[in-house]
Amino acid sequence: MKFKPESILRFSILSILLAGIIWTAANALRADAISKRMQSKLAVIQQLQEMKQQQDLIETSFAALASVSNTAPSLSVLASAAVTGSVAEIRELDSRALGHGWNAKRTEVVFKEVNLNSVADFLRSAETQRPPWRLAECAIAASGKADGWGTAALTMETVARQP
Amino acid sequence: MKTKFQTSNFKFQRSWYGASLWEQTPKIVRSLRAFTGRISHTTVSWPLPSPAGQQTKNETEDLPVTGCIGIHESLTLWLDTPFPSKSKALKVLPAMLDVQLPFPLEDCCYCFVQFRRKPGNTISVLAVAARRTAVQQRLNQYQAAGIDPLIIDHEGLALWQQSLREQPPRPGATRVVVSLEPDHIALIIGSGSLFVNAHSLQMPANSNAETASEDAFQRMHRILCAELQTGTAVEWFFCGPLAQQPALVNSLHRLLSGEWPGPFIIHKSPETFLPRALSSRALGGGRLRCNLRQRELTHPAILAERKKRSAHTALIFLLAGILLCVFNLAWQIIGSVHFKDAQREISRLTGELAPGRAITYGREVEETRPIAQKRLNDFAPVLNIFRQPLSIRLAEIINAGKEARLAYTRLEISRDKVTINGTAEDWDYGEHLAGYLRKIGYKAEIERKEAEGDNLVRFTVKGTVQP
Repeated sequence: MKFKPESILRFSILSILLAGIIWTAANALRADAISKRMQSKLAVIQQLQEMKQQQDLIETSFAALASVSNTAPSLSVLASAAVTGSVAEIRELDSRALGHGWNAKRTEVVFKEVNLNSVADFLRSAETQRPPWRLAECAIAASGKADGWGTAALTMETVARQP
Repeated sequence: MKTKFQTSNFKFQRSWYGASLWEQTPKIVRSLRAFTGRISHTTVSWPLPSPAGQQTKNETEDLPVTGCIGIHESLTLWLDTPFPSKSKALKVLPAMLDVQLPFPLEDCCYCFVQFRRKPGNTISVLAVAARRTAVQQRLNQYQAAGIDPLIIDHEGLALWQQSLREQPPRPGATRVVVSLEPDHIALIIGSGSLFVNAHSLQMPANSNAETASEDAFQRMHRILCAELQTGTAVEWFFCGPLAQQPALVNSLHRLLSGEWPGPFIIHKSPETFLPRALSSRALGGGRLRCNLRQRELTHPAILAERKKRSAHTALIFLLAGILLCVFNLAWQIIGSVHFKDAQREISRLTGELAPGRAITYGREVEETRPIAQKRLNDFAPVLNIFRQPLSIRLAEIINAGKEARLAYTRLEISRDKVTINGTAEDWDYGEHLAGYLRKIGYKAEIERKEAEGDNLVRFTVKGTVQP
């Protein structure tokens, strides 16, 4: 069987067109899956970028602390100034190195049977120091004696330059 | 002015030549369509004089000329199909025509020129056919006269359509077009604008108009009796070179109107009526068009046009195919590049978040999050310094309790959870506190116990913050 050049040419053209159509159809069928795959990759990037932003805050925070030269003031001084009529029980829980020349320190302060408003004064005072003490945990139990009185166990944390 | 035939756009040609032939003498009319659509006609001599006074053979061959085959060399007939659909009717028409023809359909050139819906929702089709040998013979006659027509039209249809064009029909009026040619008489019968039939008969060789008209009448009478009932009102239209002889036309009309009464009209310039009809049809389009120059008789210019159109179509298909392939390739490449870029960005971020750790492909978030979270926890004391103090939240929760008229007995709070025990005067008050905690981002649950002797509802609200 002999083919004319014209027939071969027509066949080739139709083949190219058919290939193009089939390729387009195949891509159209795959488009949804590819789009989903790409979207999932973009979602991963977005989540990783959010994590990265949080991590970057660590460096930013250390940079901001660079201007703070002194160490956090003693909690016993702050407690005795804010709360009268009761002696706070102060216990250092732990201290660990953070890096960048800073240590993290946690201290427990217990006020027994005190006016809770004075505890609020203590917290306000501690948190406005440079570097500040921050409340990490707190447990307050109301007293049966009178309204607004109770026992407060505060876990305070701060950072201090390494000696 | 000479119009050169353009093979690429002969359908949109603004000028056509109509050529009738009698004893090797062509009569040519050139029709020109103005931009307004109006068609003007000019009688021209053949061969056409070129500006230099010379006309080469090739130039005349390339002109858009339309000729015709005589009524006596062809036939027209209405085929009644039993189908309401044109496409279905088209399938059976060749077979129906074959049955009607006195010679094999394979030896014929034929066209189906008009489709008419009949009462009963069936389709009636007007067919035109001629033996291929007759068409070839006609073509030879034209070529011998130096004309190579692109189209071989049908004489009867051309005369009928031109008569309607020049003298618009009255609905339902019977019209007979009588074309008085030197060698024959063409009779075309119709009703309104509908073509009914065409006949041809020999023109009597008689120099006396009275005798000639009587002879012609006798011959026409036999045909017309078969088509028209005696006494039917008929509009008579005369054309053809011999219609210029008033004595012949008047005598013929007198005889004819005796049987079929009605007025007569002689078309303007009757001697050029047929070539005018042919060029007008080629130019004006419309219904009843046909070209019996078919298959191997097709004009080379039309074949070249078809070939060119086929090549154009092939080129368009080729370009479309290439375009589709290129588009798909580009789409895939761009998609792949974007995907690789995204993966590269993921690798960069995981490298920064978890340096020195091998992260499994596809589990980047799951494996990186604990590492990042541990680092956040490790550095929480530093980060907390710059976050909202927990004491503020503590104060807000205490105030919310006061507003909800709750009495707290115990409150424990850290950055990620809160537990509140207390009493309320009403069952629903504790729910207000739980609602408040939910509002500020806790996942809060409340447990309540029925009031005891003191009429106070005891509740425990637990709230946790999602990491």
